[in-house]
Amino acid sequence: MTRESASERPMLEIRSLHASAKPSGSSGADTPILNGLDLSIRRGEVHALMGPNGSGKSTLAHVLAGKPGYRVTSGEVLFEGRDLTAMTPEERARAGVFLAFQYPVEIPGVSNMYFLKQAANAVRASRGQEELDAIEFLQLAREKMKLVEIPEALMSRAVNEGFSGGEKKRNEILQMALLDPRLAVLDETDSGLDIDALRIVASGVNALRGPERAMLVITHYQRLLEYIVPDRVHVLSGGRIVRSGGKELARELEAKGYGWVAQGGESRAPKRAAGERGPDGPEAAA
Amino acid sequence: MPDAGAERHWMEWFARLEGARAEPTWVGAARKAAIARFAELGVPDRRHEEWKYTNAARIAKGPWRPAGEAALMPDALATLGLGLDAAPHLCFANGRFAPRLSSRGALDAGVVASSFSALLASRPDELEPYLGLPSALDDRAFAALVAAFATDGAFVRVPRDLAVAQPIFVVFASVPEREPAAAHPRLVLVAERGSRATLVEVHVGLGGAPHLSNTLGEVVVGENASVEHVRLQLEGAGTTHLAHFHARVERDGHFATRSVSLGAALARHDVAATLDGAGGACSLDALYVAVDQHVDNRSNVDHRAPHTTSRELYKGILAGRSRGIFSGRVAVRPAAQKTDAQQRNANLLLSGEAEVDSKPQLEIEADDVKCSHGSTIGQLDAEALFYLRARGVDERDARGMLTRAFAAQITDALPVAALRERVEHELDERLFGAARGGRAA
Repeated sequence: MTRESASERPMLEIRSLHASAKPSGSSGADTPILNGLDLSIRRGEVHALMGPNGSGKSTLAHVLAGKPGYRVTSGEVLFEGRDLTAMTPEERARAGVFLAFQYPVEIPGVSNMYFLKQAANAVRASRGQEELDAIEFLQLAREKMKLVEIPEALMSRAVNEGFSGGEKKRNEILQMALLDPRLAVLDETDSGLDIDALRIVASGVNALRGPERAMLVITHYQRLLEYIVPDRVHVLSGGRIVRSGGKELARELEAKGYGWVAQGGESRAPKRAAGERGPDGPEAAA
Repeated sequence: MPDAGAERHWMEWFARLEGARAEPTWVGAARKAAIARFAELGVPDRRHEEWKYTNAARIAKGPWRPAGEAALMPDALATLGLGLDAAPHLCFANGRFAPRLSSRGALDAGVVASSFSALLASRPDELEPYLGLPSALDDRAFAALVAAFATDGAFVRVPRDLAVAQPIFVVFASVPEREPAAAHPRLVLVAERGSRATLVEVHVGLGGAPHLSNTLGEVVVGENASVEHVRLQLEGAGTTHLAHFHARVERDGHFATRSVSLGAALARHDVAATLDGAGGACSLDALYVAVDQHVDNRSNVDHRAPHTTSRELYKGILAGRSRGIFSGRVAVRPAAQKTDAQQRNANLLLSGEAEVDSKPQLEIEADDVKCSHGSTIGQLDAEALFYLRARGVDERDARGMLTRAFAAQITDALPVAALRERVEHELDERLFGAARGGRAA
């Protein structure tokens, strides 16, 4: 990271973020999941966020995208200086925040092409760009489809319906390419992918790296980071970042396991030992 | 009888009109039989299982007077946006035939497409078997009223082995009057052996004042014939719409109906199909949409012969303070071995104040059959809603997309593009208050 040289503020600044999952029923208390998370990402940078199950990785992704069912109890999240938590999910998307879902949702009855066009035009309109008609959009979509090798047949099917795991993830990256976000959060984009699909998805992501775009790559395994090489690696445990380092940290983790960090390891002094919640705590509702 | 006043009201009107009608005595006799049947049945009260959720007495009480002549402007139909111009169409206003608004188009000369009144004058034999109350609906008091009071109706007969490619439209316009009035239009389609036809039945309201549109439809699907029927209900906001509909399917015949109900303050659709011959098949699909409305769906499939197949898909979208009901009965008679029957009802509640009741009923008297039914009541999928919003689609549009997607199983299968567009437009307008872009494939 070039903290000293950069005079501009980070694109994403998360300061002491505490967030809870709201109970799904009518009664019961919130479950705290993020417990004082700090993270800054500058434009052009790719950060990886690693951590065991239940450490809060997906919760962070959901909180950034504005998924209902979470409560930010304290701290702040600034995206290009704006308070992200005050915005609706669609406002965030239009402002340039993109979440590639760990589990892309199937939407029977809505064609993929129509969905992508509606999404692209909603985002374009908010940026003052002209909406694309069906033919213009088709041209754009075809160009981006090559990035992730999506066959045209998938475009006329219902959104993600009956798609294989790999097709769903490629469809996520296609959406990212079409929406051209400033910050992309990739939530376990490698989960459920075989090695060929992983390669295709990673090369799609790499093609979208650029000096104006920042990425937060969330993963459980180091494998993905062989393909998408990050500038920084952070380890999340108990809802806080307990260790940060360069890309070599990912390898170290792979060799020593998460127990190593959770127990303190050579941690760069987390303020408390690995949080109140153990690594086996329940994963935030997905 | 809980309220003899309602029955007396109809009997008195019947007596008043009796002397004024100039028609053959056998027609008058059919009417008399029907009004006698009505008197015998009486207006059902709430203890009647079939009328548990809909107040029949209130409907019957009105007070309705018989609807009079209603003059329609020649462009009244063009503005419907149904693409009628190019298609053969018969038009009725408050149950009376409107010849100047009707056209055979390029219909094959062998097809009879006419009004009851014209046929009574030219070839009454054609009509005679269909003038009374169909026996399959013989326990429906309001259907008996249609048979007693109908001023006119549409009659279509497709001759043996003829395939009519173009859809035939029958449009019933409801024109509310200064005082609440009742119209009782009828529809008969006879598809003879080996023939094929598509019939589009449209009920459209041209005003929001109180009105009763009490309808009766009958379809006969001959041996090896195939009929596709579409029913679009777009009555006005103050209308009470009652549909009684029966299809009889003979050996290896095929009947498919797709009904879309969007209008009326109160709508009740009572659809029955009788599979009378071996190998016969029917599919009954319906989309009912209510915003602060009451919509009551009854379906009744009677498997009377072996190797018969039925499919039902009823989908409801209920918004505001609306009330939806689905009650579907499937009967499999002892002779109907190898019956294959499926019934599905799915309801989407768009508000916390909407209510729906779903009641399947299977009566199986044969042992070698395959019958299934399922019913769901749910809200828009929260995960899908978030997914769309996370892509920049605003919440209202996202709700619209998901709601249209729910309806798509029915709307996509409508056989005429203009109908699909009209239905999608109405859906958006009624549910979300504004027209949106079309749903491209």
